[in-house]
Amino acid sequence: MADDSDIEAIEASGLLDGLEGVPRAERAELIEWLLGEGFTVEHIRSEFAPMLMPAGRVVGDDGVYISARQICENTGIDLELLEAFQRALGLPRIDDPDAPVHLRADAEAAARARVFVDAGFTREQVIAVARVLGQGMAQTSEVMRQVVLEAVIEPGATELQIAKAYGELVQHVSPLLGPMAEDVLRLQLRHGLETEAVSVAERAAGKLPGAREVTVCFADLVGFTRLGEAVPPEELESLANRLSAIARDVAAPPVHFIKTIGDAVMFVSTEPAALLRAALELPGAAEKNDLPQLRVGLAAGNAVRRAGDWFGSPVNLASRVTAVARPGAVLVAESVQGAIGADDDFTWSFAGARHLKGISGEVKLFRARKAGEE
Amino acid sequence: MAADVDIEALGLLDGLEGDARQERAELIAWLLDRGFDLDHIRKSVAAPLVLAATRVFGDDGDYVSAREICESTGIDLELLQRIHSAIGLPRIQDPDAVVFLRADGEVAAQAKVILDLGIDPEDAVAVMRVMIESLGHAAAMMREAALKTMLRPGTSEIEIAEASEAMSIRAAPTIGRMMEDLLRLQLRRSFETEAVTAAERAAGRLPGARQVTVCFADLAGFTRLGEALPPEELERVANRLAELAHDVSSAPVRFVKSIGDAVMLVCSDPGPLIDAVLDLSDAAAADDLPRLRIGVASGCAVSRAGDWFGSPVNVASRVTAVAQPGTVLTAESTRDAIGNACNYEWSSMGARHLKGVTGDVKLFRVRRTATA
Repeated sequence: MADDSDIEAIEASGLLDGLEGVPRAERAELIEWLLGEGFTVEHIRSEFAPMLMPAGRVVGDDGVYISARQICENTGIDLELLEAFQRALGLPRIDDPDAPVHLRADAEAAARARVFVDAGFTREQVIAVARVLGQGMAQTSEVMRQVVLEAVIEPGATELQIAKAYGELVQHVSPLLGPMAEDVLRLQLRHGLETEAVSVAERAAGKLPGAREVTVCFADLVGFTRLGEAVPPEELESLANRLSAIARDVAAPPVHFIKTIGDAVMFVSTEPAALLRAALELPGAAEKNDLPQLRVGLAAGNAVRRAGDWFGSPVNLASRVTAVARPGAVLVAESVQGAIGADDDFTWSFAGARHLKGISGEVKLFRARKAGEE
Repeated sequence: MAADVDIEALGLLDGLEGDARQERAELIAWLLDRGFDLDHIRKSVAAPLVLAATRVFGDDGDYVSAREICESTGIDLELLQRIHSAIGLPRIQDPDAVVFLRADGEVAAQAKVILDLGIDPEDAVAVMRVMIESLGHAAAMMREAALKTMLRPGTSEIEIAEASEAMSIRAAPTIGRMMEDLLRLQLRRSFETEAVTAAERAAGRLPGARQVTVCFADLAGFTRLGEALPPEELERVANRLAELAHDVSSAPVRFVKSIGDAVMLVCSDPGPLIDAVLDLSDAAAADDLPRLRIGVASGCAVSRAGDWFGSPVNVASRVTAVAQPGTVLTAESTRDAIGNACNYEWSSMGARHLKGVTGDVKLFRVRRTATA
């Protein structure tokens, strides 16, 4: 139990300013406990969400701050590169290199990017890798935080109860974070897929896998914007989630699921027939899963894979073809129809030649069906 | 010695001719010398060229069946199937077929660790999926950068295999620590930006929808550019946009993602977001990028796994599509959310019908107030 002098001290600290009634009492209870746990008033004051402090401490927020210059001295990287890393990782930009405002643990993490410098990566490469890693970890931490919070949050829980339960769960998770992230990255490094097949020509040229002939497919939920005006955001999220589950389901090598983009999913394959076969599964799968109808579009051409995404004319073209597909239909550009040629699995109907935005000339379009289906 | 094995007869050289065939035969002989067995070379998903490097990361030729993974981790076959699909491993056709790398099975064990914390299987699969997806991009980037450092005109396959193995051995011990540090860093940051409100605690559920402002910035004429430029060049342009967008996004503005020729930013506060996108527009112009179409809308959206869903996301995307290249166009919702802040100048662009949005949406072009 708190005695009166504790409560007075908390009141006097200003940490309860702006709070009234029950929230004020709850916050006072939380702060008293935090002080007992060894957090200082100053540290609490600097936090946006005192309730999450115990969990934050577990993952390295110990309230120790150092300056950019100190980090450079400790790790041997130059100031300019450190700043570039910090920006790439999404850390705030600090103008004064001597201001002790960087959490020590954050600084150490940024300095780890040094391993890439030592490996001989160029400055641009190091920064690009740091950016993608930072973004990947941000998404991961976001979903982890949500999942862990969902697990501890109970109707009517007080701030103190959440702080304790969350802190405890994070304490359990904490030792697992490193091995988990490492295992997943290793898995991804192992599964280099076909990008790795550095060809003789590429080696002769002394540069990396360039553009290759691929087929690209997008599938788009029809009426998603309209739906977004009518249903709550959570409902939209669940639709998009189910779409991405279906997409992963129909994609098996050599068809690769690339990503979800809001209400659309993207696939790429070096084998057009395999991709079309997967694409033709999508409309039925959507119906079975109570999703709105899908528009599906495919195009083939030269594209380049970078950082898990694809760039090139077939990507843009497939997206335009998708936009003009009828709900429930799979529409392909003539490049795809030509690449597949005669195949007993499919029937084609000519869907006209159309002008597509940004594409010069007209593109002949074909609707594809599974053989034997009307 | 490799000379004992008839490499030609093994099908490992199929489709290769002349010098390429010769080099590959030398590479296979080199791999055999280094203790790789033929079965491993044939079975691996990795190209022979990078097999030595991927062995460092666990592609060691040790295969297990799905049933063995289930037994050693204690997860059932159905869940394993879902985890496999989440992490992009091939579907389990025959649970007793010995076709999965033991190291890949260990990733499934990580999912079990999450489940054991009392977390819903659905959520555990979601965590794995997001990790796999986002780290997949990072891994692709790292491999590309690493290969670039070792490619010189005329490098032989063996030279690349050797160099990539050496680099992997050097990087492997550090990578674990780095992953852990980076994940912890982002976890700390996620605590900063999102508290749990009293209302959410009362309801016993997590941050639901909240008021945010969403922006897309799109490279004008990217499709046309795609017809004229080689894909590598196109990628460079898109990458430059992502870089600039990162640069202008500092808290509270969050860079959400890049999507081909576009980037998406979100902020709970409309003012800083408008400032950021005006900066972005200027930066693109200064950088010789194609002009940007920028569209902004505000409203209720929900954040899940690092992405955002809700009406302002869709509306911002529609507004972007009708913005004039080089301008920042906002929906009325954002204009209202900003109110009378004097650092902006608004010009009404009329009311437009946007696809999928009922009624007309009033649109405003926003500029910085000219400094007197």
